[in-house]
Amino acid sequence: MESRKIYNRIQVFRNERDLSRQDLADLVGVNYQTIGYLEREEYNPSLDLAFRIAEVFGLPVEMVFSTGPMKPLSDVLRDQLEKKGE
Amino acid sequence: MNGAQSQTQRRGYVVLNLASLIILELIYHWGVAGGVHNPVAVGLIVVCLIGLVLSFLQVIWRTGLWKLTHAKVENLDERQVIVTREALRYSYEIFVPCSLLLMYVPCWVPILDGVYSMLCCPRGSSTCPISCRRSSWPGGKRSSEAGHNFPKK
Repeated sequence: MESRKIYNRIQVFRNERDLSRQDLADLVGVNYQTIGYLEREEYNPSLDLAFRIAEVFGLPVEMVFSTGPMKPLSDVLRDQLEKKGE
Repeated sequence: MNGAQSQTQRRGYVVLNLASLIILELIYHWGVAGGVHNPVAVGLIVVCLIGLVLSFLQVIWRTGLWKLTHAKVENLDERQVIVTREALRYSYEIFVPCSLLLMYVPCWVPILDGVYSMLCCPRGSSTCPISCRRSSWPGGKRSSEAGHNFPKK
């Protein structure tokens, strides 16, 4: 069975928190190259790794990973504001 | 583009590595074991060794594959385990069958000789290439008759 591509926002959240790849790799417990592969979406993480990354960012896993292309966070915020305005 | 080029280069080095190993094995089984010592074989061995070392450094050492394949599984993360497994799988999938084939080809030669002589030419005739080939075995015998005797000094 061919696995689907998993999209993520790891790079966005990592830059927001001013973490290097090595820092995030140490927090998650993987090699820093693995973080690079994840950010380039060249590697699909296991469920365990996905949860560990989400826990490091303190966010629900569906905010970090998705099976479809992810919207920019600014668009998500704007949509939420528009919903609230209605 | 650069990534694609480097991938092509790496594949080229992998082919060089495997080809060097296979040629060395071929020389060992058909050359040294058969008692053949000539400058061409020695030159080929030197070229193969250079190719082997060069490709080893480029493809196995510089890429970190050596460390990955020799590290404990507990020290690898999930991606590294997958990479190591895939690398070893390809290695064994390609190299081991080629090596086994080369090792067992000498066993097949006498059988093929027999089949060839039955089909093509009567044994012992002046046109029979088998009589010429037979003289190349150590002591003028086939490997099955002579065993794996190394040349005496």
